[in-house]
Amino acid sequence: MIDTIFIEQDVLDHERTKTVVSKFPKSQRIIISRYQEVFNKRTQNFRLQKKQPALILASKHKNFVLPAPAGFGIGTKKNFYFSHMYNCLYDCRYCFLQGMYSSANYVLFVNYEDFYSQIETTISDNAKGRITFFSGYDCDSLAFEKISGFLKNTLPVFSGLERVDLELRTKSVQLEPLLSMEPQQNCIVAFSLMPEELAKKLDNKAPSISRRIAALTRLAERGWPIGLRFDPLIYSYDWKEKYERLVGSLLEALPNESIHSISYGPLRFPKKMYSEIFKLYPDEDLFSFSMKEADGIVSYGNGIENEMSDFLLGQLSGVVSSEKIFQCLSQT
Amino acid sequence: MLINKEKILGGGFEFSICWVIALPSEARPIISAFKLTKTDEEAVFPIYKNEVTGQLLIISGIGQMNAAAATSYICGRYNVPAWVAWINIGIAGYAQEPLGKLFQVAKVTDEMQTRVAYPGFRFSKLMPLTTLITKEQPCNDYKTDTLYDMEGLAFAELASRFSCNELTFLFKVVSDTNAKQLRRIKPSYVEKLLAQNMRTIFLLVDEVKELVKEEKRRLDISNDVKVVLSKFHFSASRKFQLVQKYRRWKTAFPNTPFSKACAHAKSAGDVIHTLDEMLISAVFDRPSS
Repeated sequence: MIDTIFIEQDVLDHERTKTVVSKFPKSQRIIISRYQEVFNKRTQNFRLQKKQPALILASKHKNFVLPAPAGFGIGTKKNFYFSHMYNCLYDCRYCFLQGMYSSANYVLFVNYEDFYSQIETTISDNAKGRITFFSGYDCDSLAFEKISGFLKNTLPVFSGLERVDLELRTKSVQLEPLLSMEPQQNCIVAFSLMPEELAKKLDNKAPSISRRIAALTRLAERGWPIGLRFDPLIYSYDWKEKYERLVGSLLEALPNESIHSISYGPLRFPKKMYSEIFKLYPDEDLFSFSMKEADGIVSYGNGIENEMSDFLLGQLSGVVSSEKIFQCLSQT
Repeated sequence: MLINKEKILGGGFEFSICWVIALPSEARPIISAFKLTKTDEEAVFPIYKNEVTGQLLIISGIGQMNAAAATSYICGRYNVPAWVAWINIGIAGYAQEPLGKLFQVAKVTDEMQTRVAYPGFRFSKLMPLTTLITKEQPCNDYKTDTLYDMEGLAFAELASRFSCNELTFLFKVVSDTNAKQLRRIKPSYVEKLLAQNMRTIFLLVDEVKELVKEEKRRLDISNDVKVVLSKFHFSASRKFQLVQKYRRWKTAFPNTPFSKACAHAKSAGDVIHTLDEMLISAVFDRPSS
């Protein structure tokens, strides 16, 4: 899976580096000074690199916890995110990461403890009201867990914190360590979802929607709070029938009380990012449809966005409490 | 001195690989294996090509200055497109034997490690990866696990700007070690080292060509667009729009001939307008798509 590991000189002797490296005994190792010298090179070709990403093991020096973008959240006013990893195992065609980074290599920051320390500081700096932390903004929260062990280490940090929630955003059906741990009621396992037909075309390398539904059902049975994330909503032929079927299968599979929250959001890109992604995949059918540009944002336009939101809300109406439903309007 | 510049667009010659090689003795096994012939007698560097396989080869001479000059020269002279792969292959010093072992370079720096490049889509199944230090002067004291040459860094820095990192390759064959040093470079010895790796080099070239094909599909302008561009006057911004909209249209309506779709167009504006009209119905996941 990983044929080459670039390792920052400073983390060569880090215990976590040794653990990760030991999982790829056949990989070739290249020592580097700082991860940016590999990751940020301008002349990289994201599309070709995505065929065979390397792993970069690095130490993060700052910005461990950042405020979440405006419009991103599930009910609390104070939202933060942290990224122990850049890039994702999956290759979803609408993903903003492909337009944001010039490299498709995975960066894993091994100094988890520095994240924890900053998380604790953020919690004490925001002593009043609820706070939500989001993991899985620049990567998938679960997909790399077997290698990184990040969640196994991170979940105890949030254990017992009554006014703090943690959202794990994922498409992975790799459910450890969640299945073997006692569920934490402040940890929401949130699955990104779209109709199966669309996921087959867009969510490359990711588990099918039916497998994701099976996974979230198992987690719900185990007692983990579940988040359903229809973000982005994809406009397509027969989209109403497709979303109706998807919502139907989810509500049939999940006990209502296991649903912590549902969020939905339109497909939107900053203009520059859209242009980068289009350059990478000019033959992608998703981009054939005429999207609109206004105020530097490329989107389906208000008409389609509102129609899709209203339809989804209609499907959920009377089944899921409206207090659990949130619109996400961040533009990455 | 840009004379006899060969036209690629509209011509039959489709380049896929540009080789930049320091020594004639390093180049000879490649020239022979890929049936390249001498061309462009007026060029300031020796140049070889094979039009059928789309390969160009330039012999740069030793050193970073020569490698950089030759890379730029051939790129400008032949208007090499961005999807072409660039390969530098040659001999290098290494701490330990075996002599003749072929490596792909995954990281190349100068002696002071102030400049660094990470070239190449990696072919780790075909050969081991390693690092390379490009020196200004020959040396004979090699540190462990690093190759030494005199051209690699300048080549990697320049070629990746003409194409991209993933299509810039450095392959090095171990020619001398701390134990077995070369007093002078004997051409027949160098040829032998390269020649004994030709089987792997053929496999590499096949893999590289697949990447080139993919990039060409992504970057090349279709003949449909070229025809329309020659028929009507497009401003630079309209040309950009045409190229983008055509790609989207072709994806949405792969079976519709462009000439038919734009049969009534009388101007550049008409062509853009026609595409816009059709793209409104290009909803994702249509039954026909």
